[in-house]
Amino acid sequence: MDDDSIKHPSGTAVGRRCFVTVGSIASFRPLLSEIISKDFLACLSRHGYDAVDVQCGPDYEWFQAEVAKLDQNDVHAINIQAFPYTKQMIDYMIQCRGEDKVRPAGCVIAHAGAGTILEALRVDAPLIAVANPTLMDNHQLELAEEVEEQRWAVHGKIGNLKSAVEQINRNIVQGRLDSLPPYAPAPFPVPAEERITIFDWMALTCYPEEFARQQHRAALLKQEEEFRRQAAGQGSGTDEKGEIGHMKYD
Amino acid sequence: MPEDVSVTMDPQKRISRGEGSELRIEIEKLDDESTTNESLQTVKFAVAPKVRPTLDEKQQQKQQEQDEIKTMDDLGKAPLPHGSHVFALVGLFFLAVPLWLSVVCSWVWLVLLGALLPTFVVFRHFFVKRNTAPTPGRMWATTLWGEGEEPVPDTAGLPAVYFLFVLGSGGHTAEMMEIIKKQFQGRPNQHRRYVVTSGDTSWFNAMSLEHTIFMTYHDGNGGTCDLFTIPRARKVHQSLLTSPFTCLWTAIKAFYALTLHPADRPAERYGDSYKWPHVIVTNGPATGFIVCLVAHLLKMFYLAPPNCLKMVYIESWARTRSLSLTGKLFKWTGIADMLCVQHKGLATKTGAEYIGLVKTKNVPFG
Repeated sequence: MDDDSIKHPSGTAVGRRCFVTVGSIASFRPLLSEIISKDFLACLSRHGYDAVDVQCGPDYEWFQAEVAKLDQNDVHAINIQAFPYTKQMIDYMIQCRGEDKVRPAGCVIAHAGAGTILEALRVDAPLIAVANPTLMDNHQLELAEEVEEQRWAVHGKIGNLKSAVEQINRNIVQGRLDSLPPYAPAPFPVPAEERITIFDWMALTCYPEEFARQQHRAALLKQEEEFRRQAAGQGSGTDEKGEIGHMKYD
Repeated sequence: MPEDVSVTMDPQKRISRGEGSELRIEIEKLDDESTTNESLQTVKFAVAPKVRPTLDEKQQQKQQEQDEIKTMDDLGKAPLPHGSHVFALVGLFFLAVPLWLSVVCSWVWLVLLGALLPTFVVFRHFFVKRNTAPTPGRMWATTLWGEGEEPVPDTAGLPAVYFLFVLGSGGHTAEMMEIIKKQFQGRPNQHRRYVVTSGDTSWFNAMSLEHTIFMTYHDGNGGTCDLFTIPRARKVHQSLLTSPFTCLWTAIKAFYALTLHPADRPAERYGDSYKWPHVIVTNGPATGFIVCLVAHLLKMFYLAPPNCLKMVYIESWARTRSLSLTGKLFKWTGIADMLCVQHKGLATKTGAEYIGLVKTKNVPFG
């Protein structure tokens, strides 16, 4: 399985990057020490990674000392860079996002903070979320389990990060994440069909008559749409379906 | 005789009621009764069937008064909630009794007031809560089109749409900015007020968003905005003894943030349409709860009309299985018109409204 992942059809399966982030406030030494453990670095090397960027928060000095202690044979020529904090987190995450004919996909290994996870999801970078158990009632575990359930990310466990990296590599192959189109920030204002309309509905409740009118219209439109879908299902013609799409979005 | 009768059309009335056929007739000169009646008859049939001869001055005045009341209603002055006059009568009775008793002996007055005020507060609390918005389920999340028509919901035709966003700090603000961006739609009738806590950098996020909006909508279709700073309800590591006082100070400032008229929407031009925020949106900090509590009190004591100050609480994306402390407070007091969560499991567990904010990836995963 592992050998298959290395010989990826795109041919650029070497040169993957890994970005590790632990957030700005809390210390997360177990994750950092696992990242530079002998086994894990060997695993990264085997899967085609050659660079690791580490945002280590308050443990910067400690981490630098630990890296200096490493044996060169254990590093497998992986370039480890460390820094305490950055405002340009998104730039590092984009480096881990696969782009067609530019770079292969890597992975982001992050503490399971909501902001970090959202940011990684926004740039479509493969993500391993690791819950920091030292935080108040281990609240990150909840989110890490939830994102794995929704298949947005892989839940990495301290002591078994290797399996998470293998899982990520399987995802990269399955989802063709090595050849995504270039990253474009979300458009503003968002397309009308993706908008959250809940606040508009709430504003309408301040004008009860208008609210009732529009609710009625929405219900009618919804019914109409359902009828049309049923008709399309019975007719089984592609032309009809195309027509519906045209009516809805034009 | 035609020269004896002058027919005048009241332009004000025509505008206010939106009808062209309404005419008012004034008889300036009367020769004798018979001619007047005749001429009136002719006018009545010649001009329009809706003409209303108002000979009797008393009747005329009465009609005018009635018309004024009607036009006020038409202009969108919020009608009183159903059955409120009954409550007013009950309230008057309960006020009159202690007042009468106060003449008899003063301590009875005090005791009764002490008993009646809480009764009134509890009564009004549940009454206002009953008037909260209905929850039509998934309808909230939809944007629908008819054939060649405007989308639903459509806020472009409303006289005013006034949002008040309470920004927290750090992660809360970042999340709120995402939500505001995802719901934004350029409308010239929209006003946005940002309430930020002092000693925080949230104002910067709000202003950069407003800058983006300004650059996107050059023609003023982006609406207007303003920013309000209120003090923090409780600083980190503040003692519990002093926090009620700081909370009170925050509440007073929140009162100003809720009541001060937006400077960009002067009352001379827009009337009362921008007097009260329509929707208050908050997503986390204790300050947001205090602002909503003040809004609820305003509604309870008849200071604000019932058809405004709708409250939306959005639980943080980080909460997947249980509500946060602020979320629990909102759920327990029930003052929020809508409680939103961002995970399906939590929605089914708490009965809150589910709004998925993170777009599901379209890559096969796992």
